[in-house]
Amino acid sequence: MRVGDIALFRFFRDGITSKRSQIADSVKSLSDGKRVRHASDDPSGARTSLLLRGRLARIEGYQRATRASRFDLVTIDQNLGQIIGLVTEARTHAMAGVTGVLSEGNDERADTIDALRHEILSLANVYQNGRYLFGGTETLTAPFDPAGAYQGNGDEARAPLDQGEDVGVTVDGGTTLQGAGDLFLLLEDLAAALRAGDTAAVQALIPDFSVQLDQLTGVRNDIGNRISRIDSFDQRHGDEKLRLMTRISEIEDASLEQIATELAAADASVQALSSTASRVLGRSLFDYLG
Amino acid sequence: MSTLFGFYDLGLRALSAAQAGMQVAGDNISNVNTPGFARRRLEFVPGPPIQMKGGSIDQGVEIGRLRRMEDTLLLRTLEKEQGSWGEADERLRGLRDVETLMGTVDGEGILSAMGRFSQAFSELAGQPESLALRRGAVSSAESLASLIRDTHEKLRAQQRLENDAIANTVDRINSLASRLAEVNNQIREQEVAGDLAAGSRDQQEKIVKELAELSGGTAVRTGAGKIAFYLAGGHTLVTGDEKSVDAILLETTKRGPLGQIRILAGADGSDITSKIRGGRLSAMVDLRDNVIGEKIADLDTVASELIRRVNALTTGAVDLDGNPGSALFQSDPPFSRPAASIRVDPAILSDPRLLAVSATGAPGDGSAAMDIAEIPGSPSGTFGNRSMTAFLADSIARVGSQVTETEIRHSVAGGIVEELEVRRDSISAVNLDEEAVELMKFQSAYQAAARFMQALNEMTEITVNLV
Repeated sequence: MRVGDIALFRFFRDGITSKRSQIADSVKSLSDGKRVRHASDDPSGARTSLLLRGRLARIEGYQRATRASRFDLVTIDQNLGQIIGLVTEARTHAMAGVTGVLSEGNDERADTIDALRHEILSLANVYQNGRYLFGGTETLTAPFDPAGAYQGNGDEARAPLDQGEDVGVTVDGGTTLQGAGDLFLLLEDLAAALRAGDTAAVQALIPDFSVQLDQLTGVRNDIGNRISRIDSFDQRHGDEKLRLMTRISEIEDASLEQIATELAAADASVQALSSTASRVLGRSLFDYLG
Repeated sequence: MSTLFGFYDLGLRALSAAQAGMQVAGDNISNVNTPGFARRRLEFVPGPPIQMKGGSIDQGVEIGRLRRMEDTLLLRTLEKEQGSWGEADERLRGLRDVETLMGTVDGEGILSAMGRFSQAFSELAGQPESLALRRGAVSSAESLASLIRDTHEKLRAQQRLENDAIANTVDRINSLASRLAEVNNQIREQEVAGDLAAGSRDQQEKIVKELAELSGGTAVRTGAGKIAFYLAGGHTLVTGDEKSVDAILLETTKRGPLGQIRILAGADGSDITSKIRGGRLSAMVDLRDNVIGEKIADLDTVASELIRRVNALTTGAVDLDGNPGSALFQSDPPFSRPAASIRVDPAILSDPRLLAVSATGAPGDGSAAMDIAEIPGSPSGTFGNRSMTAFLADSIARVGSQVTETEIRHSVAGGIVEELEVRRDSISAVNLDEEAVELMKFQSAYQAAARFMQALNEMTEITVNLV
């Protein structure tokens, strides 16, 4: 075929431009390690990747929400543990009041019971991260006043675990400490009986402590279950996150070996084209005319 | 029989022919890099014979026709493909712009802002009384609204750019049509005067090529060197009248609230905007009215749904001080162009206590926040039972698919145009080797003719000395 000079220039120009464009793409992929940056790089892959990234963001949201909630539940669990210890100690004092020499140390025992009551009140009014944990959803008011009257409500503040799944992150202090009889009133009655030296009254109160301990242990078990549930979701989210990130990486990331090979091939083409162009272009029969 | 002096005419014709040949080769060499230039070749014919004893003999050489080396059938195919390539090239450029505006897969965009919005409200649901988390949630809502507004504004700006480009392209088409009519008339006049009008024909081909690329129209060679030009739908842009060629220019008018340029046929003023097929102009119209229009509509749907669903929850809830909640998002005017004006209520933005996320009124109840967090990811009838995020991902992926499809069309059309140009060049382009040979040929012819003249001169001198 007859080839015009302008066509020859165009062959070389278009060839070199096309290869340089390939080199630019390969260098970009090498620098950020990405194969898919825009939707047009792989439309269906990009769609999947965008949806996976959306799910990834949701999982991170659930994880952040449950991390703070877990911290609160652990505090509730610890405080309940301490309250159970204090109630057990109060029962021990009651039993000692009955079995020991009643006249000896009655007032001191009563004072101790008062101190235990005060400490339990303080533990139930725990305030953490700007909220009270034993007031249900009334998280900005101290759950119990100094007289032991419950100021909260019967609800629970809830945090999301996943779509359609949530967990209570506060407790209803009224049910917890006063649902099986008023714990504060029980302690007040015990202190009064000790001060009065009324062994029969003290004796009569001891079974109520067992009921309180059963109630507190039941709530604590529930809190433990909630923490386990959070941990279970956290574990599941961690696994899912890893799976999503792996899948996103498979879609978006470039194969460095492939890019390096393509880059080398394109570079070799440019060199060959440039070298041929410098030999062929600008040379004509005129160069040989005397 | 020719006289001695008659031989001088013969020699002069030979010298002139060689000079003319050299001139044509020189012209070809000068235009070796001129786009659209079709090389010329001079035809030579033997001079009229004269009778002499023993038979007739030609009176040397005469300069014949100057030919432009071209294949009109090939040119017609090239013009047609030029329109397809122009359309694909313009569409690809516009789609890539739109794709860039919609954000990268792994970078900042409406979808990632939506993810942060859900995260912030999830966190708030667990601790709704936290002012820090309230501030974070309100800020994530404003950040999402701001990205929707920003993307909407950029798409509108792109739509305005396409609109301006349509107006400029129509102006350019009119200018080319007028020029084509002028060149058509010039060619007619030059050819009547016996001129080949090669330069004008080069110009004519160049104009037609650009017209086809811009408008996707069709050129019809009507004979005697004239070219009529028709747009899709049969609208005549340049008449191919035998006696006088005219351009019937397009007109434009602005219509609609956005001042969209509409293209009107010059002859009867009918709106032919949607009838334009092929060429850059049709791609610009499609980008403005369909591609970008669709993306803006998608954003409006997302903004409208976001406003409706979030506000339904916050207005049904109670703020941190126990007061009835107000709408978190506002738009101005309500719901007409929601993506253009979606924003967080400034009062809530400055005082996050006003954000209503409690369904019961208790400060520790964040059930509305929990529901708000699920809005982007939960299916909705508005999005054909898809979630808001899936709807947006589909919208972004659709642009990606359009870019990919157009890249293929662009590559195919580009390949065809390139192949046709190679074939056109194989006939019309200048080859310097060939021209060097031509130069040598005419140089030799000139030398030979000069020697002939020298010999003739010597003969004449001998004859004169005899007297």
